[in-house]
Amino acid sequence: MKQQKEMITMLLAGGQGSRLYVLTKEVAKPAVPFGGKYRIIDFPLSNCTNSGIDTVGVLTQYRPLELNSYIGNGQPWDLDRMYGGVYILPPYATDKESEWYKGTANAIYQNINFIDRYNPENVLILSGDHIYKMDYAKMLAYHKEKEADATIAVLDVSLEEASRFGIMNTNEDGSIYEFEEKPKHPKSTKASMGIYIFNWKKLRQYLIDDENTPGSANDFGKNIIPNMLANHERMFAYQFDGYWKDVGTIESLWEANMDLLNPKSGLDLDSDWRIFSRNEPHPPHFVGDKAQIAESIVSEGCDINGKLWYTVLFSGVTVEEGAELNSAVVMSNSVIQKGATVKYAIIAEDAVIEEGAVVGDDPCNCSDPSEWGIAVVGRGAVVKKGQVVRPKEMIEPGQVR
Amino acid sequence: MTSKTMCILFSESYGTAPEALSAQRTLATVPFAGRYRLIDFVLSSLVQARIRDIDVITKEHYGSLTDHLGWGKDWDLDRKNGGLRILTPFTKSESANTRNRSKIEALLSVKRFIERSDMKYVILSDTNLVMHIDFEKMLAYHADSGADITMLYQTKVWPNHTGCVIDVDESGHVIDAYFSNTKHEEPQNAAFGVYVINKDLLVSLLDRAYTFGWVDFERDFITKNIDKLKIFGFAHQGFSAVIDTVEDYYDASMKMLEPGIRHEMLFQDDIPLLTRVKNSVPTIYGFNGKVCNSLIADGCKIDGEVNNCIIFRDVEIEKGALLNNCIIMQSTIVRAGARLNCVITDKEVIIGKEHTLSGRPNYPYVVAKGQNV
Repeated sequence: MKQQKEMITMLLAGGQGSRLYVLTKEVAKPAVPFGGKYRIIDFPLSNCTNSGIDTVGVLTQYRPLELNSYIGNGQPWDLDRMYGGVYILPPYATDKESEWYKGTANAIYQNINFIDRYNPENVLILSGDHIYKMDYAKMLAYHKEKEADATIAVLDVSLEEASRFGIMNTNEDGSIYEFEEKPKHPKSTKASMGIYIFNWKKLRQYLIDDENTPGSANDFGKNIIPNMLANHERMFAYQFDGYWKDVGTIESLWEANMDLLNPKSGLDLDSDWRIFSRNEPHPPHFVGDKAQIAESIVSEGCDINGKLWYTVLFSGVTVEEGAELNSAVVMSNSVIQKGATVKYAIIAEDAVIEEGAVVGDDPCNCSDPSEWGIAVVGRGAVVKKGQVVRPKEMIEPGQVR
Repeated sequence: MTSKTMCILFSESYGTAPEALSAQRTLATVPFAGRYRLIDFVLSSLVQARIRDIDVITKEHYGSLTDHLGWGKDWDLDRKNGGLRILTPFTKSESANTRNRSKIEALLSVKRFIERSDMKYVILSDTNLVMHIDFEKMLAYHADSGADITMLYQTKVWPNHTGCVIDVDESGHVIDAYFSNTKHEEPQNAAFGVYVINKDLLVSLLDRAYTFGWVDFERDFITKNIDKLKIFGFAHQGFSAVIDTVEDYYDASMKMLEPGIRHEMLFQDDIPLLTRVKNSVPTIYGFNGKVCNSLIADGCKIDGEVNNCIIFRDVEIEKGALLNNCIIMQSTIVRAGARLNCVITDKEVIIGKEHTLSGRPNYPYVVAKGQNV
């Protein structure tokens, strides 16, 4: 039964995602719902399954309860395996000390034992906050073809955007000669996607050396990658072209949801590269005789009698008669009561928007663009009858407005 | 109480069946209400009552059943003790033609299995029932009344009822039971094929059945023993439908669009209707989609007009198509400009451009699985 694994995945899922504000008050970023029936972590997990990777360690730290219970035994992603499968790896105490994961590299360092159990040739490092579909098997083939020690997936971004990313400067053969974190004057537009394949023996040594370096931030981007470059290890950039989005901010999360409604965005859930998720047996959604639905996504268990326009509804949402939703994302089991209006907004789970309340607004109605933004209503919050939640405003989880 | 109870479900009715829908599958797995199979109702009721030892007797073409039930995981019935078992016919080839012609024969074929069980009570149930049965109450009623057999019935106006009708006295004692196919416009005590029976009694009745060549469950087990055994009736509360014909199927399906029944049968959080969970994407509505009073499952692409319909998973309805009062099963494609009225399409049907098909509510037009119209 025991055999060496060619590659296993370590998925960094411990981040708070503080720029998602009220949406990550109670859950880790990878557990944030997306696209009607998914959570962000479904994307990297499904990519692993579809790429033939059967062993995934998920490193958790910030508010792990919901993430842990969501992943469970990994069955929805076909990751319930006899040898391998999905493992939740929280920080732990030892006889000498107990510490949190200090950085991305330290998180992997603390789990060297886990990786060694599978004795893999390569380790794939992923983060749990991106929406994309990618065949890691192809990236591995490239990694092997180049006989690389490290391969970093890169995406072409526009020159203006490049200064927001870690940029890889490469030679003609794809080898990386320089790495610049958020450069003011970028030399290339190859942005790191935070997806790395490392030769495990090499990485293991670098992790141990890094741990023994006082003052290190124990971070892949800041320490491990620059150290490997400085030592002239064989490092290559793997070009990815396809949909990829960092959903680390309210705007980008909202945009990625809207991209599902745009056939030209390149984000298509309904293809052979299936994104799996933990589903519950909700009934089909019901559309009443007062409903109007166009250019929208609706999940199971919804009961709709209002107007939907460019809207994403998660399961079990109720939209009552006369309610109007435009460019909205409404998560599971929320209720939009009679005559309420929700525009350019994200409503988290179990929220109630009472009769005639107004959440968010169209950017066209906002004279000062700096005043405009996506309105957000936190989980379980209530917006009382006739109340207004202005654009960019956020209602805390459980708060009553 | 429920921990001392096992259940045997019949995947077939051994009587009339909606042939057009059950020719290629068991009656138990006829698709229903957008994402379910008929057996989901009784299975969910059993799980709700914490009955976790369930056997399903099959007869033939049970591929869809094994596919749907698997090892019972989606009903939380993948247990070390008990759980869900599918009992496939176990016979020698020479008797293949005569196996399991009736409920009694089906039970005889698994008699040794029943004998071995250490359960005290056995629930026997059909699977073509669209209803939430309160098995916990029914079992308590069975034990409290000291009954040998308890049968489930409902007093209601049921003009098309064909089957067992019972007379009960004030104490709930069944004093008469007979087969009836007379059309009634007044309420009658219609029995469902749902029984609680003491296990030892079931075994001894099966011995007699073998001896005397009994084949009809209601006639031979119930009516013939009406004076010898303590047979009680337990009244069902709430919605009920039995699917014996295509008309029954269509009628019960369309009832799910009525608000009260829909909430009672499908949308009750405390009585969840469990079913096999699949990975469909959410449904996407196009610019021209227009939907009214319909149930729509996941994975659909809707760009046409849909009124009073039940749409299963992964159905595609193109621009300009118009559907009224239809039941469209999984993976059907309705091409642009097609017009359908009172049509049932089985799985994986394609309705071509500009085609018009129409049935009547009491005689819906059925398109068989995989047809390209």
